[in-house]
Parts: sequence; structure tokens; C-alpha cells
Amino acid sequence: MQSWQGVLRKDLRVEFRTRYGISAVIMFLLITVTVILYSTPGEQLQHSIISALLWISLFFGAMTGLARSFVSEEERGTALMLRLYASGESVFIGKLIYNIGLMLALAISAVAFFQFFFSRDFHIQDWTAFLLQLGFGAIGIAAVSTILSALIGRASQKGALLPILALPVLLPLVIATTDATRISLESTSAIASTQGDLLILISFDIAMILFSYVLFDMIWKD
Amino acid sequence: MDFLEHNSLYVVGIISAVIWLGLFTFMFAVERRVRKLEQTDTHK
Amino acid sequence: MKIFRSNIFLFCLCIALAVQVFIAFETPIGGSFSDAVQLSMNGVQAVTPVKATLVSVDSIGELFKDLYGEPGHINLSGKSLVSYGSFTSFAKGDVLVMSIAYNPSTKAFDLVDVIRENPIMTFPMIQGLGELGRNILFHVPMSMVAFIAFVIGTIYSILYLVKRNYDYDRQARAASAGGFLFTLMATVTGSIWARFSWGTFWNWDPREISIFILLLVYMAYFMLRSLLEESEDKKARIAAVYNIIGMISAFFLMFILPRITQSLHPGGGSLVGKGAEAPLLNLSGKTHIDRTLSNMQWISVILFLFVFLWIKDIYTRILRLQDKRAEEI
Repeated sequence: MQSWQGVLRKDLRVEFRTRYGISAVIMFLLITVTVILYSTPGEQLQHSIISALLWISLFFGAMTGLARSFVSEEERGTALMLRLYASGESVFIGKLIYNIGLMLALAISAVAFFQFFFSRDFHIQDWTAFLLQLGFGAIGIAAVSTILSALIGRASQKGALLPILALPVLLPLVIATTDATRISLESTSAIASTQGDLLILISFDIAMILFSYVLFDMIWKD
Repeated sequence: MDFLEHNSLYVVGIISAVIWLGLFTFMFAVERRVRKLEQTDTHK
Repeated sequence: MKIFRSNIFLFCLCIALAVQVFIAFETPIGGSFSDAVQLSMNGVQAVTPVKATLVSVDSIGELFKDLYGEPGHINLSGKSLVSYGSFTSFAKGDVLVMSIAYNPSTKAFDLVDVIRENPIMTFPMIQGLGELGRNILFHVPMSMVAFIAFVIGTIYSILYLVKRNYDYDRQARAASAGGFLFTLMATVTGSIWARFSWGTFWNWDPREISIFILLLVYMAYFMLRSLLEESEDKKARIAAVYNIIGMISAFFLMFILPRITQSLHPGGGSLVGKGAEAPLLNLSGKTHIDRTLSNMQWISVILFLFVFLWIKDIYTRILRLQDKRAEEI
């Protein structure tokens, strides 16, 4: 079980050397924000719309950035070695933690960009509620992306397939988070109203991580 | 049009019955074909 | 599923469905006097179908008891009951389904027409729905069967992952195909109902979202099976895992989300105290549906379930034949 740290360290080292993951993610965010800015010049964006935009950017950012976790292994041919040297559980935990880290970085950068570029419309009133739902939402997206990218590792149309597979699975999470974000943009004591959403997020995360942990081994071993 | 409005409920019922009948005829046809194929297969 | 090979059973199923459709459209809707009063509250004298028992026969102002036992006078405006339609005679104790309108000035009901005499059964009148309520016998059972079909498919997926018997994977595929069909039908019936009930074909209501997501999960499942280039065994395993993960999401969307957020469907917001309780699965454990309607609904559910199981059975056999042919080649 200790080898998950090895898997994680390998991914982190590759990341620090090439910075493919984080740069793809940041570039994607910049492009998305630019498109939004130019398509809504001077318009007042309501809270519900800007919270939806935030989570659309996070969802598609995750699709572009997190898909690489297993796909790159298959492409570079290192998958076989990974199977030989580490157990299924450790590979999964290592990749999951790496993806959670990447997703949290993406989330924090997205919030920073939104605060900077949409400073007039994006005012977070209740930071506790906002950060809680952001954190749990990011963990959920990361968990789902990990197991799904493992599923489509050798598919022919990986790029198009991941969003198609991920959307139905992630929809409860997106609904809960957009609702919670909207509320935390509006009121200062949002914790009470976002209780339901946070409960959904936490239970969704626990369910997803548990199930993907159990199911991962079935598809990893040939 | 007037006739349709007065008896619209029955029109919906008839359409629904037609759909069910069509579905069942199709299903029966497929069932018969599959059964025949299964018999010829076990015969081999 | 050997029973699906007997022609007699299938024939009976066909007849039962035809009877169900007939009953769904022929049974009159019979409300109560309070329904009639409520409907005319907004000033317009709305005509309400009401089921009432004749208590005393008179020439002016018959006394009736409605289905809850509430007494009410119905003003015949001078005509006698037999002049309505083709009914020959009315006696004390007769159950009639009549269209009445509440007249606030005389505090009595005006008779508009006699619809049925001594009907075998009536539907309860659901506020705001009227004749559209008949769709409850189609849309709700289809949605239930769609979800049950999804659960059956997931169970076979789990069985395949555990036992690695390839027949389980075929059954999971067949169940998904049948489930997709029923989900499509549930969406269509719900959308048509929404058009006449709430104004537009689609409202992005949480329950509508959940059935839409079920469609997306099915489509993603089929796309996954066709786009992967792996061995059959690996493909089956990957599809089975996706089925299970889709189940988790569908569970959240189907049961938890519609009860937390505001919804057009009954039961929205009930878990956070913002709405009325859901009619069937709720925290108090009591069901809020009328007995006749709920019986009819469960019969419909069982009938549709049999149709689904039949579809799944035929498709499984087709898949088995296909695989056997492929092996022989």
C-alpha cells in the first residue's frame, strides 16, 4: 500500500519537469475567461450566471487537464510497467491524489481569475461556504475524472469521450455546486442555506471515491 | 377539427392502442424468428 | 425467463395492456363537492365532475352525498334527472357522476350534465389536472419501470464483474436497451404532459433533469461499447464499471436532489422543509395517493415491467445467437 506515494511522486516529478498539466489548465482558464469577457462586454452578470460560468470552466478545465492521468500512460507505453510495479489500489490512490491536487490548483486559479477579471460581478460574501463547496466539488470532479480516464485509457476517441461519459455522472455535483456558489455570492451567512448542497457534495464524494476504489482493480488488471 | 376536439380523449386512446398493437406485432414477429433460429441451431 | 416463450402468457399480457388503456380513458373522473367549491373560488364558475350518491329524489334541489360523505344540494333548475342523456330512471342510493358548477349566490350546485350512472370505478380528481390526470397511469409507471430497468441492468453488470460469466454481460446490455426505450417513453409522455400542464415542453425541473441524465447515461454506455477497441472481456468490464458509476449519479438525481431543491413535480423541497411531502416515498411513511388510483398505478407498473422483461429476454436471446454464430465462423 505504500507504493501509492511512489506513484504520486513519479507523477509530481514528471509534472515539475514538463509542467504540461498545470500549463494546459491555466491556458484553458485564460482562454475561457477571455471568451466570457469578450462576449459580455460591460454587461452585468447575475449571480446565477457567473456561478454557472465558474463551474462550466471548472468542468471543461478538468476534462482537458485531468484526462491525461491514465491516457498519457497508455500513450507513452509506461502503463505496463506501472501494472508490474504497483498494486491496483496504490496506482489508484496515487493518481487520485495527484488529480485532486491538480483540480484544487485549477479551482483556486479559476477563483483568482474570476475575482480579477469580473471584480464587479464576482464578490464572494461568505468565504467559508464558498471554500467548502469549492473544495468538495473539486474532489468530486477529480475522483470521477480519475476513474473515467482509467476506463477510456485505450479508446480511440479519448478527447471527445471523456466529457460525454463525465457529464451524466457529474451532474448532481454541478447542480449542487452552482447552487451553493450562487448562494455564497449573495448572502453573508450562506452556511444555513447551503447545508443541503454541502451534504450532497460530501456524500457524493464519499460514494464516488469508495466505489471507484473498489471498481478500479477490475479494469486495471488484464 | 370539431370532431377531434369533442372526442380528443378517444383519439389519444386509439393512437395509444395502435402503438401498443404495432409494438406487440413487431415483438411477436421477432420472437417467432428468434425461436426458429434457436431451433435450427440446437438441431445442428 | 422461460415464461416469455409461452404464447398464451404473451397474449394475456397484450389483452391486459389493451384493457388498461381502455380503463385509463373510459373511467370517469369523479371529484368531491369541496373540489367543485375550490375550483370556482377564482370567480369563474368552473364546471367540475363530481361523484355523488343520491339521497332523496325531489323535483327541485336534490340532496346528494359526495364521495367523502359530505352532503350537498344540487339545483336541477326545474328539469328532472331522467331528462339528462339516456338514463331511464334514478332511485335513492344511485351513484351518479355529474358535471356541476358551484353557485356562490345560492350556495348550491347547478347541474350541468349527468355523465355516468353507477360507474364501476372513478378516478379521483386531482387539483389543476382534470382530464390530464389520466396520464398518471402512463407516465408515472413508465418512469418507475425505466428506473427499475436501470437497476436491473446495473445488477447484471455487478454480477458480471463478480462472476465473469459472459451471459450476464449480454443480459446487462439487453436490460440497458430496454431501459433506454422506457426512459425515452417516460420522457416523451412527461414532456407532452408538461406542455399541457405547465405550459412548455421542457422546464429543467429536477425530476426532468434526472430522466434526461438517465438518457445521457444510456447513450454514453452504448457509445462506450462501440468506441472502445479492446477485447470483448475488457470492453464488457469497462462498460459494467461505467454502468455502476452512472447508477450512483442517477440515485442522487432521482431520489435526493428533487427533494432538496424546488420542483414543479410533487415533493420538491420536502427534505429541507420548503414544500409538501412527496406522495410515495417520504419521511412520514404515509402515502398521499387515493386508493383507486394507486391500485391502477401499481397494476400498470407490473404490466409495463413484464413488457420490459419481455424485450430484455428477446434481445438477450438475439445476442446469444449472434455470439454463437460468431464463434462458429
